[in-house]
Amino acid sequence: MDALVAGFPVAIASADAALAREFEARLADCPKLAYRVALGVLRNSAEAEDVAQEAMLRAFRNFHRLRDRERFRGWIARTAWRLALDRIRASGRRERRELAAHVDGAPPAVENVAASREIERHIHAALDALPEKLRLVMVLAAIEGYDTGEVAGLLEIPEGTVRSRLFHARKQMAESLKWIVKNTQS
Amino acid sequence: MDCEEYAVLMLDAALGAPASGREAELRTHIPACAACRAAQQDAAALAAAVGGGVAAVVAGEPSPQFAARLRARIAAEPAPVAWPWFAGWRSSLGVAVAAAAAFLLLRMPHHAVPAPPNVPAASLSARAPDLPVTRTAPATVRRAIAREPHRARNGADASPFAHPEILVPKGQLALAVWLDDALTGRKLDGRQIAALDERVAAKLEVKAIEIAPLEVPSLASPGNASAAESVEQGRQ
Repeated sequence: MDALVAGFPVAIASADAALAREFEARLADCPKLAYRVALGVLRNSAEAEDVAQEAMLRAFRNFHRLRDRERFRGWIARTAWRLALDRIRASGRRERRELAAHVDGAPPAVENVAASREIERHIHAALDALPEKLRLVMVLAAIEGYDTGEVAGLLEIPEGTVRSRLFHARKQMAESLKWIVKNTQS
Repeated sequence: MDCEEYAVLMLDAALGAPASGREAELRTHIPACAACRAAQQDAAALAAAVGGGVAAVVAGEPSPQFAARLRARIAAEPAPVAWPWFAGWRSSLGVAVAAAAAFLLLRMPHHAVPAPPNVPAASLSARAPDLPVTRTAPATVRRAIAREPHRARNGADASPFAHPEILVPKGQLALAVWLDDALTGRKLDGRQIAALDERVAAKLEVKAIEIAPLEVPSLASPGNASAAESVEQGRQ
């Protein structure tokens, strides 16, 4: 990502230097944030990169409007989230994935449980089954280094709300996945 | 409390639920209950599976080509607008100028406008839209003034085009005269002119004057024979 930051002064040399420096500073970690948020929805690296690029481009175009620069990361995260949701809704893949997964809690055969790919599929299905508000908090909290306070800052909501949503999201996912733990422990 | 309730409490605690206030009771019970110890392990494993599973979903780095692609796309973009505060300042300045203009307009001294004859002041706004009156002369008049500018410069009465004729609907002549006097005599303030201007401009109906040639009956026609005889007798 350092290479990315280093390449930008050429592109935005004609803009105001201070504004360019501010944007460069935000490029240090925002592309990774946008990529991971998109990955949490799309589960596809190439598509997540497309969404992250689009989010960064929109940020570049609208950078002068983001008066409160401290909110920039939150803006990037929310934009990447919306773009990823739009993309997956447009393709209709979410519905197909949900249909393919066992979200009704019916335990599959033990030999399938042993397959990590199958477990991963059920985790994805349980995550997709969450309401959007809970899912966004769950994804952001799962990104490395983000505690509830940082998630609250990104989403501009109270930290208590983040804790509550996080608990309900985990609880709902645990209900869907508890058979995995029982089968793997047996 | 039975072990099933403890199991629920332990799972909630493992998933990040707020403190239930029964943690001390639970800590006392678990060492003495093998089922609850197993339930605690299950809860911890389940919470780890949930948290770890989602963390695995979002783990990863953009590809090495990500930076080059983004750099190329941004290079193709027009440069971002610099000095965002300037744009805000410009819009704020526009608002300030508009506010100052409105303030000056309101503070501007103006003469009281006498009510038009036979027309209640309150009914003026209701009748104004029908007035075929305009503050600008028709195009033909403007062209005539342009051809003879010296006549227009010699005062308001020097040119016959200074007061173009207008048609006024029946019953509104007094109102039109009053309005013309008010406009030409600058007796209306800015707000009144603006209000009238809006209404007049919204519905302006100007009808052309039809001038028919005067037909003079011929003296030689049969119908005028008696008249010709009387003229002849008068001569005699």
